[in-house]
Amino acid sequence: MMAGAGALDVTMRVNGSRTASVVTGMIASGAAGRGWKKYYAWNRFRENGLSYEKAEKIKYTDKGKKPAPETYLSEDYIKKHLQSFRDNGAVKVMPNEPRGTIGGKGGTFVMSGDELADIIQYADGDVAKIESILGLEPGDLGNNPIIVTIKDTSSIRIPSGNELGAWPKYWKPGGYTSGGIKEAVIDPVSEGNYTYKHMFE
Amino acid sequence: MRLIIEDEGIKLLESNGNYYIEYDAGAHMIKKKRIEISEDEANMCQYDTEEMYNLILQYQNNGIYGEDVID
Repeated sequence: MMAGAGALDVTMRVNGSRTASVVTGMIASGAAGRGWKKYYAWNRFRENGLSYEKAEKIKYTDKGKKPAPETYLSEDYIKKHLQSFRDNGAVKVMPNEPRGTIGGKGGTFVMSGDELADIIQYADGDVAKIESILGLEPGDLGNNPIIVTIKDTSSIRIPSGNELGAWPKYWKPGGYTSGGIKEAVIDPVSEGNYTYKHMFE
Repeated sequence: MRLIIEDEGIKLLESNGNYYIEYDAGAHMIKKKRIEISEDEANMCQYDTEEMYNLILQYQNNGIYGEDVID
């Protein structure tokens, strides 16, 4: 597994020749590490022509009417963004073992496997930290969350904000959570097309 | 709750003459929510299942996400 591709990019852009091991330390530094991720996400938007004004306009457009990401993000940006999901798998976390189909019409949100691995490493067994990073309420994930891995990533795409799980208060255009975590959406996944395991053995 | 129809993870339910749409409102985790809808809206949903999705978006745009569903 790659060592936090997103975080590695931050280091290369901002600090030149630093190495992945420094990134691990950066992530382990807690709030500062998360701040770097936010900085990185916003910088990438600007470099790709997504201005603050444009992003705000999209954010406050009614759900169902938000434009497709392909209309305001470059093909290169989208390809790079989605590659880590294709390389490292698409995952979700939840408090209980999944049953039946996961997600609904419009797609369900996923993280890339390497990003979740970074978060778990940073959290060091503290589920509250994971909940905080993912913008969840305390206790949402229980004591030993389930990691669901979705095998087929052929429908992976950048969220448009029209998804039923996109909350206007938190959702931002560009494929990152408000906390700077890379996100994507995938078509609903029927039972048999995902595997799951507890986060802590 | 009586299941009337289900389409792509969205359920139309009925209980004591009241109608509900149940869906996953979670982003990075599953968070089932249930919105109470009118009989007319329920009829529209049965006529065209796409209406369930559109109806949820309408309610969400009005700030209504529904009540949490505890399995």
